[in-house]
Amino acid sequence: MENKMRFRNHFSVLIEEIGKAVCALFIALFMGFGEFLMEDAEAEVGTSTEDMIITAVIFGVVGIVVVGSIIWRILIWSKTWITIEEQAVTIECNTILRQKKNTIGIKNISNINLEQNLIEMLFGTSKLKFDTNSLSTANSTDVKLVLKKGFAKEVQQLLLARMQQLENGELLVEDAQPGIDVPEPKVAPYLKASTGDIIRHGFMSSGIMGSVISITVLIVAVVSGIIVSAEDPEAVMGAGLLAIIWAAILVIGYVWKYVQNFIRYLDFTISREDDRLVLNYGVIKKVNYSIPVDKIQALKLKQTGIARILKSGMVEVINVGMNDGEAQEQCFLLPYYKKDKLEHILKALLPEFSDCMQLKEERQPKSIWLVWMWPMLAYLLVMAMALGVVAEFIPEALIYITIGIAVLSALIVFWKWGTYLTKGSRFEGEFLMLVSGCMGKQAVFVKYDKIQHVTIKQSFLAKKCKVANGHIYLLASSANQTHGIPYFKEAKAELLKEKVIKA
Amino acid sequence: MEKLSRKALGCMYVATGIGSLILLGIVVVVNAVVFFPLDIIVGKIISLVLAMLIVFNMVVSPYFRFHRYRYKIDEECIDIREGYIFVKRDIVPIERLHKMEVSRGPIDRMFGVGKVQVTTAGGDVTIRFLEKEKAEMIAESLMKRVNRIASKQRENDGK
Repeated sequence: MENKMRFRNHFSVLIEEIGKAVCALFIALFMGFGEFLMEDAEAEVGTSTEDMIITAVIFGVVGIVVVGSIIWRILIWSKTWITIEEQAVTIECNTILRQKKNTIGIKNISNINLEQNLIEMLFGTSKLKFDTNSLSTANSTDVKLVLKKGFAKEVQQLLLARMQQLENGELLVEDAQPGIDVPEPKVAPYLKASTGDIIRHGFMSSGIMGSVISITVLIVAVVSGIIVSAEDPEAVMGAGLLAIIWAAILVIGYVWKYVQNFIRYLDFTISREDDRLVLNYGVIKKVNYSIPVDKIQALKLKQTGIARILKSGMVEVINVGMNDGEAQEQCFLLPYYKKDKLEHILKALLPEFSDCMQLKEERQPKSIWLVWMWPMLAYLLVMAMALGVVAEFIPEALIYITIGIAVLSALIVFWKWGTYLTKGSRFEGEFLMLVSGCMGKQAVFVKYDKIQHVTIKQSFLAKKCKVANGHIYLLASSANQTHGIPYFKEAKAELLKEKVIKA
Repeated sequence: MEKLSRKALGCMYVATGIGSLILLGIVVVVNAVVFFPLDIIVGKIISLVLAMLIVFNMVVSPYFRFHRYRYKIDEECIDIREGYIFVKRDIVPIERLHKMEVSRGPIDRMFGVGKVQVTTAGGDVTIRFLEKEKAEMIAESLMKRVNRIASKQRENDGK
């Protein structure tokens, strides 16, 4: 018996798509028209009748384009059918101008996620997104369907059940229809983050250190500017106003990021169902997504500067098909908690990666300071040449430029020292551990069998100092495909090779 | 580990020469249009130094790159070492391969060489400047090994 289910996207998807396009168009028109009116008002001699006719024609053309576009979108929506077959999902669109058919094997689906933004909440719909586990589609979510909320949930469960059956090599259940024999989620959430947890997460992930440095650089730049233009009061006022605006932008940006992080992850829950992790979070935009554990390529432990001081961290996953347009949220696994609590949670939810938290990285060898001498010398040479040029052409600004260069150089040295203290790696054991960062810290834990290939690099100086660095490549989207290996002792290259090959 | 054939050296010289001539052309144009008409001495000095470095690189780098280039293909992995001032080593486990491609550009054809590009799920790695017949032989041998590994894996999954 045929085991097919055929349906269309909910009509509200039209309203969303058309609404966005029409809003953008009207804004562009309004701004263009406003500019046109102002030009007309300023013109000494105006030919207003002609201009009115031109305006009417333009609006007419735009109106026709808008109406045509709306009709076209409605046509596409009405002709697009989604079919769930025994082993594949097919999306077909047959119009006069376009015929398209996408077939995705259910066995190749790695994630099926549910989201609900504000507009979808109004209409009682949900967005169903699923990704396949292939490199070519790793940079974008493959399929997005907008369905009634209950139906979307049922389709999700149906696909998950079929994926499980195909994986186990079982016969497919005949007449499997949503609501009849679809398995219900059987596990209560293992962890539900409280409001306090999310507030702490928002605070820790907002990168206050970066803002402090930005403000410091701003103050130095403004003071230098004021000193240079001390004889010109207008320039001083202008510089002061610019500084206030810039500082306000930084502060607003920081506060907005904090609020965003808070709102995004409110009502966070996570549970483990067989071989999947299931996450739910969000208030304005509700997200429900599941991560197959065997598709997790690597785990990332992230710490901002403040989180490092408070011995806390958050966890992200690197998974095939994730980290596309809505990059940040799709990688998210656990919010900021104390490290020992993270270890405890991972032991329960993800025992495959539970040993990661106890691993300690080996810092980069001291000899890399000699390797860094080469670019440092090049930098000093360039700065000396720049000062020479300034001394030749703008001698009055020489002292200020020198101070600026000195501050910049001090920041670079501070940054280099910070990265030396933070970066490291660990090759022994089941996982490759790669640590990067300066004030913040990021540790990536990869099982050797997930590494696709490795590149090791050595400059002339690195060869002399018997150190090397490189990259590993994973099956992941472009943002997470490549990970740098900090400098390590040359002798460990063979160990790395052996571990990658034997895995 | 295996070395490249002598044909590769000629190919490297020609490829580097063409690239260097283009760069020298840019330097000459900038000098003719900007530095000489405006008599910017600093610019002229920098251009001279750049031109000398480009010529030096053109003469010296293919020789070192040729003598440094090594590759090894065995049952387990592909190991390629190449480079001049910066030496790069690519390690690709055979099990991770899923695509092979042999290609030859116009300069490669002049010298009877080609390159084999192998693809994993994490990206591509290329073995360059191989003799044409050798490139095809390597690609075929790799394909057979990949197919053998794939059938072994299917057998294990079946069990």
